[in-house]
Amino acid sequence: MAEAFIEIKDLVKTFDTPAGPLNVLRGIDLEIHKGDFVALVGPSGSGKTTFLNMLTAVDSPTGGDVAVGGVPITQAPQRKLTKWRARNVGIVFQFFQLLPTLTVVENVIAPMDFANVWKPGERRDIALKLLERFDIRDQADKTPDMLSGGQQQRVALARALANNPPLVVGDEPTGNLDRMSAQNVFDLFHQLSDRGTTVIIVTHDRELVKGVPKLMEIVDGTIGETTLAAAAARRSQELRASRTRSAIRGK
Amino acid sequence: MIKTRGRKILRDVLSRKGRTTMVAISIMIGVFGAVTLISANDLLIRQIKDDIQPDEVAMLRVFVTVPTAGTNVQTEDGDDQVLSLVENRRSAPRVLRSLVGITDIEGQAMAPVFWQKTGDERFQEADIMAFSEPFGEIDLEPMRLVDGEWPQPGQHELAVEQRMADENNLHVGDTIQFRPLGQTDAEPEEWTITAVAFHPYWVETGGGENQPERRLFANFDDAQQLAGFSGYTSYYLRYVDKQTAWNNTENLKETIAEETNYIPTMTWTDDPDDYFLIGEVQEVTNILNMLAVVALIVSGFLVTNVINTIVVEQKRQIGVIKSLGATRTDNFLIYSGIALLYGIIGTIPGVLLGIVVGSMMAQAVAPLAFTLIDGFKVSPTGVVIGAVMGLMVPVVAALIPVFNGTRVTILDAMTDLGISGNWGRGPMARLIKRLPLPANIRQALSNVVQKKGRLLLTVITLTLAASAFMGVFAMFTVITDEIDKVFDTFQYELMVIPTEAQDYDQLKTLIQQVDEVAEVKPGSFFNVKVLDLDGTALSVGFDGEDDLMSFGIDPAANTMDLVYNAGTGWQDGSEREGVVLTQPAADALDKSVGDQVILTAGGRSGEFEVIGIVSYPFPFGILRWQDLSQLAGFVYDGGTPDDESDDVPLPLVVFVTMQDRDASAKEVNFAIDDISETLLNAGITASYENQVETQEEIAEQMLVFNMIFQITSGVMAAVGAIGLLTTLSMAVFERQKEIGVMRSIGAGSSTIVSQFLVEGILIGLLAWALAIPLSYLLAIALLDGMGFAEFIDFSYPLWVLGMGLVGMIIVAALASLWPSLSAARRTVSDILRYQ
Amino acid sequence: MSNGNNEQPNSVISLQSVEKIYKTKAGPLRVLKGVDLEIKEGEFVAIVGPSGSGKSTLINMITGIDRPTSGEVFVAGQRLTKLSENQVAKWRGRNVGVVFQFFQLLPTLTVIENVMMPMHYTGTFQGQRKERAMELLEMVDLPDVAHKYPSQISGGQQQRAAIARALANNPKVLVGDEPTGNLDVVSAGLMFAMFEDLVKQGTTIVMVTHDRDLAGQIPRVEEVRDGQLMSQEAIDQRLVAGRQ
Repeated sequence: MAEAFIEIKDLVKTFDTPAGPLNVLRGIDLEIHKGDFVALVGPSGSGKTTFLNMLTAVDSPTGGDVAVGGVPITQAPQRKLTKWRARNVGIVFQFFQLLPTLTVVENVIAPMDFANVWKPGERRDIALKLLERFDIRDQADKTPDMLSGGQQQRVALARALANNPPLVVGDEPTGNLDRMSAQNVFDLFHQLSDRGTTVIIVTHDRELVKGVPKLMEIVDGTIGETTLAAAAARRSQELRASRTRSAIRGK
Repeated sequence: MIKTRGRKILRDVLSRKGRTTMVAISIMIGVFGAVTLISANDLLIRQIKDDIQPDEVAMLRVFVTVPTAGTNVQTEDGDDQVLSLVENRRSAPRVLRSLVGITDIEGQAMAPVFWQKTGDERFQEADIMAFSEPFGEIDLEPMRLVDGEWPQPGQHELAVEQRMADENNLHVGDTIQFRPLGQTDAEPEEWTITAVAFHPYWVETGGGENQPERRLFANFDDAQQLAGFSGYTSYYLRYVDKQTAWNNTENLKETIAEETNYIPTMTWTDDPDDYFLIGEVQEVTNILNMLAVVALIVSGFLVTNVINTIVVEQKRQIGVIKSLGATRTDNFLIYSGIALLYGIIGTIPGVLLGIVVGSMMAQAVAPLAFTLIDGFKVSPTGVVIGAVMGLMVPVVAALIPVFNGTRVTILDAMTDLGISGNWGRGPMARLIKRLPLPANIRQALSNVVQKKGRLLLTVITLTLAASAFMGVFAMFTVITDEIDKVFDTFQYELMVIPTEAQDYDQLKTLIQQVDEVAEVKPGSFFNVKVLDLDGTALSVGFDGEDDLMSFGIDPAANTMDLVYNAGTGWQDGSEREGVVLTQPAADALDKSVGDQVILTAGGRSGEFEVIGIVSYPFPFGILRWQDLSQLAGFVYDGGTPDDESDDVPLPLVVFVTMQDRDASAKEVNFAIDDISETLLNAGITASYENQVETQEEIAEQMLVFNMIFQITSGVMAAVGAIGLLTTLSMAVFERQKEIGVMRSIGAGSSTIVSQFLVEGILIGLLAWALAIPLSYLLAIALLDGMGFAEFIDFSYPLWVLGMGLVGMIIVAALASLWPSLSAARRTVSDILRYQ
Repeated sequence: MSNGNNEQPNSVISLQSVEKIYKTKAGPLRVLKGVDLEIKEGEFVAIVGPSGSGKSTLINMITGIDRPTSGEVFVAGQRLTKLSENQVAKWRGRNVGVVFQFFQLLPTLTVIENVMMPMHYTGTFQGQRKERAMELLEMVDLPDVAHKYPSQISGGQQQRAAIARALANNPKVLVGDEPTGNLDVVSAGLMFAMFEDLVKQGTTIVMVTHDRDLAGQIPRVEEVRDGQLMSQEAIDQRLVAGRQ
């Protein structure tokens, strides 16, 4: 078997809340291979975002190890992580919006300026080509406030690919897109995956998620493969159970 | 190629035009103030230093007078007694010892004259000056020839000082006439101006004021003919070094008193390497420099506030930028860069404006510093300091907020949702919870206290501005009050100072011939030395002098309105012997009522009892005029020579009160005209001090300074107000969500506006309260810096506090109304959409 | 489904030909394209749809937070389009309870003070505010945290407190925009149960959610797509398709 691109051993994450400690991830062991296309499903609050944050080194675990492409990111110091992330991970979260005072193409160039992967002279061309890939090249010199939510999301996707990273992580990457654009994006993910980029996304899109090769779900703090039907069934069951509990308690 | 960092800096600054404008204006005002004041200071000092040549400065100036008019002050050879004494060195060894170290001596004679342009109706007073050396050969504190040629003796020629020429529109070739001495029907003679000269050095005139606007120069005999003086009125000396000069001052005075017929009245030492004028000008302008720097620092706090808000506003962006690979340093450079760009935008117009106004201010203030600045001048020092500070202050001011703001991790930024909620655990929260106030006031209080960093910065900005404003007001109120007190003490309208001591009765009769005159009183004016009974010298230590300036008055006349702190003095109508000290003098000499002191002057001394202590800002002593005149040697040597007991004391000055106690300066001038005509007809020249005019002039001078200080403090108040306005705008912007929440549960516009109003006023009140002690300290520091602190008893005028409070409330209300009104106007959906 | 224009309908919520066009830098944006909606008293309605479909804007029409470019909005007998911004805010305080994801509690007031705020702003329940607030807090099972500050309680508790606040003036209509968005499954369930109770007592509840499982439990579901409400057949088709 090919060596795992992402190796996760005994990953634990516990949060301190005013209502007491919350164990979100309780010892995850997982391997993801180069070129895998993974979709993480399940209800909000189950820890999906937390898990993604471990992969991108935005957050660090309470216990356990994560290695991406051989780099043990849970051990590395901040400064190195910044540079590593810039060159190795393309992130598309709803939080990571475009910088409002830069134009569309400048937004795509920004990560290139920080990672220094491309030569300064080539950056603009590469950025424009990326914008073209997402069918948004004509908005290149506009500022984000002139674009619709869907258009901004496409620019964010282009930006995530700016440094040609081996890993792409997305949280609802097609949330604001219409059917066609969303399909486009998923097709692109498939292409990237074929070419060896590892893609891990969280999505609620029931249509498009059908085509994703690997589905995973976090249940009780552990992660495992799943199917769409199983995930939906589990959700409804939980909801009914909690309502019964409240009814019993007389609220 | 501008990379992403540079782009973001540029775009961020350009996109928020309103905010950028406010910050830039604030910096511009600060830089403008700094450049203007520092330039003006620099230009003035440089001009004075250009004018003053150290090796021309006299180390010692001795002012002399003669006991009575017509005293012979020449040697058998026809030379001046003092000059001959020093130059010929044919004297007893004891005398020679007192003259040790003298390298040069020159004599000056100065006396008042009355002149008019040929054809004018009225004569004006001026001072005519003559020298012991020919023009062009004067070594000590000479004039510079600006136009024409030096006048020749015996040709009815003279030179006029440049500033007098400017003020009276006189040129080389013009003719002027003088009021003749003595009763005569002859036509006034015409004299020709052959030269215009610039005299940068200080000259002591009879009225005590250095007034180049009324200075004429002539050869000695010509001047004597016009003004009727006997000998020189001052001598300038240089020694091998200044220490020798200062050590031998007393010796020289004694020698002159004993060996010649001159009476030395006053001496004045100076350090050629540190010309006193420079120091005096610097004292005042240093304070202005200080205020300018403070204004710049206050605007720096505004920058801190703004940058702080920016990094808080852009918390999310900082997280995003970091996720794109930017390091903490990158972010640091971006946000510091924004501060620097603000600095640049504000500095450039500030410097340009400051250059222009600084030159104008230097030109305007030059006359007050007794110099002349011709034309537009640029001070590189002012420009450089202003520019450097304009750029550095914002960057330094931004350091802490940028350091803090860029510390945020990507995770922090991501999980920062909605309204920041950290309130509740601290002691302040618990305290506020307990206060019996309506809920929305408690909310306002909590909001204000919650953002401690922001609160601190805003309060500091406002406090500094308020302190400066109130402190300056307080200082000037106190100064003008003291000056009024000083002038109230003197109960006469004009003072006649005969050039040479005259017979009092004759003087009195003549003056009383003038209609407007009510009363004439004799007086004296002299510096004395104070010694303990055992002979130890005591020092008053005022203005660098040890001597006690002393007034001689007729106690029965009400020449001075004395307010006694201790002792009875002459209140009981007695005319006893004794000395009355002002409070500062008594404190400096450490004497109280009943103590005995020895006063000496010019070789004579006498024992006096301290019979009273009066309230007055400056230290001096008051004696019966006869005692002072006798001490000084102003006596008519009647009867037996060398027997002092039958000498008749003569008054040095004469105080005149007018019929109309409320006469205006102009009316007093008319009286002076009449008196001088009367006296000149009798062959007596004198100079005159118009007390009313002096008071008005000083008030005017104070007004100029007052204006400069008020402008500076106004600048600081403006910067403070802009600071508060910006802070509150930013607070409103930050709290959009909160406003949205309030609107969504039913709060109307008035509720929202009043909330912010309350917050603004709370901050304002806090700042005002803190500013009270600070402004007190500032006022004292300013007084000290201006040299007034030693003798002004500073008590803070309470109305200034009230004024500061009212001003602060107005500023706070306006500054919080505007942003809160615009916030209330925004619809909830606008706010939502922005999310 | 719509009554004639300009007539007072007998639904508690009535939207008639509502259009909303925003002016943006990229040109006019039509977010709502002629929406008609009638909701009767006591109904429990879910509004679903993808991001950008206009469902939040639709909800904002009902609360008066936003105004239509054209068309009419009637809520609880009031024609909202006739009122000024200020008047709407005051009307809303009395008649509509709002539970939005972003409209959380005011951080510098205690929980009970937050619950009292609507009464304060609209001048209702003079003299009884504290008592009523405590009753409401008991209803949402939060009486012990009444004097704590929001930062001292959990997210779920904050949301329950927000519901108590929304009910302060006993509104006819309760509107929520993703009210369970930030909650864990248990808290979400609790909240949902509370809503069902309120509906039984006669409150009309309209809720926007993107959680289809949650929507599936709500009696009436309206879907918004591209600024328009979808017809019932279209909805049924999609539900069937989703289950496969």
